[in-house]
Amino acid sequence: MDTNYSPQHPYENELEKLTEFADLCRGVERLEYADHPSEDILRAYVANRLLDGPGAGRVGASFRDEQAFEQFARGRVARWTRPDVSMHILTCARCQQSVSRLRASRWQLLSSARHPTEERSWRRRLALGALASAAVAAIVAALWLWPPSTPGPACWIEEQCWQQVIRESSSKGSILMSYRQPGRF
Amino acid sequence: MEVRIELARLAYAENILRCTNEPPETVEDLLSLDGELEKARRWFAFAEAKRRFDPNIVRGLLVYLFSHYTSAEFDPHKREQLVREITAGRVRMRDLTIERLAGTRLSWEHIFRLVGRQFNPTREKEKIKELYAQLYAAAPSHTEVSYGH
Repeated sequence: MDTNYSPQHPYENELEKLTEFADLCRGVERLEYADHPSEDILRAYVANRLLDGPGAGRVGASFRDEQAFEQFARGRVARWTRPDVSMHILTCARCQQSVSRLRASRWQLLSSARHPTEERSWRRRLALGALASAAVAAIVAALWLWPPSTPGPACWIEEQCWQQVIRESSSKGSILMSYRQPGRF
Repeated sequence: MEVRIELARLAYAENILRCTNEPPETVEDLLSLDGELEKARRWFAFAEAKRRFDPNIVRGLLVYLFSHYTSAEFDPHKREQLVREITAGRVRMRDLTIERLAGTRLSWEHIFRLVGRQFNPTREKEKIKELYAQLYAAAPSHTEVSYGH
């Protein structure tokens, strides 16, 4: 199958309305139901946690057998699946309102959950940036203000560190040679 | 009862979108209980097209159809929410239902985003119409196909 896209102007795409298939989707009208999905089921539907049927939702349950289909066609659903709820809401004004409300509150919840995180991470980034800038500034200031160490005496290598002391030894006729540190190294 | 069968066909179409549909031959009798065999078969053409062609493109066409034609009323708030989720990549085609799409009037750019690539909608539509003609042109039905070939 050739599915390569030949570049078209976006406007040209918008001219394609698939009108030949439009009648397949029309004809949906409000229906009266004796049973409605519970608030929990609607909540699960809005949160996208409702399955299409048993077996991890691989196959829609409504068409599995004639009995299931008959239940669906009568609007009496024993176990609500995702298409059951979707079709029910599409045709039930009461549940449309409930879902609209649940969706709005979920949207609000998700939005408020996202924004503080963004704010927190923004604040954290700002604080880290300020801290890093302060550290750099402190290092620069320290380098700038640090008194330059007096140039080491040119003789520091040659300076005599030890004085040789010659004293008389307690032993007769001998001397004692010792070393002592001068006042300053 | 007719309305319920109409609804059952839509539920089947929703299963095609989410790839949870039964093979057409197993549900043909049930979905034409109101005598609208041609309508059922037109949905079956989508199911078969998904099997033969690029399934995501066929699903993209279904998303467009549902978003434009299942509700006569445009719902700007619902559209805004869905578009934001599509733009943020937080919704996939398998998450969508006809109810979620009804009245949202998505543009092809949104569909391309969901599908993950661009395609030529007119060309893809024509392929489905041709497939329908191949599959059911010789088969008897209560009403004639009205695609205007």
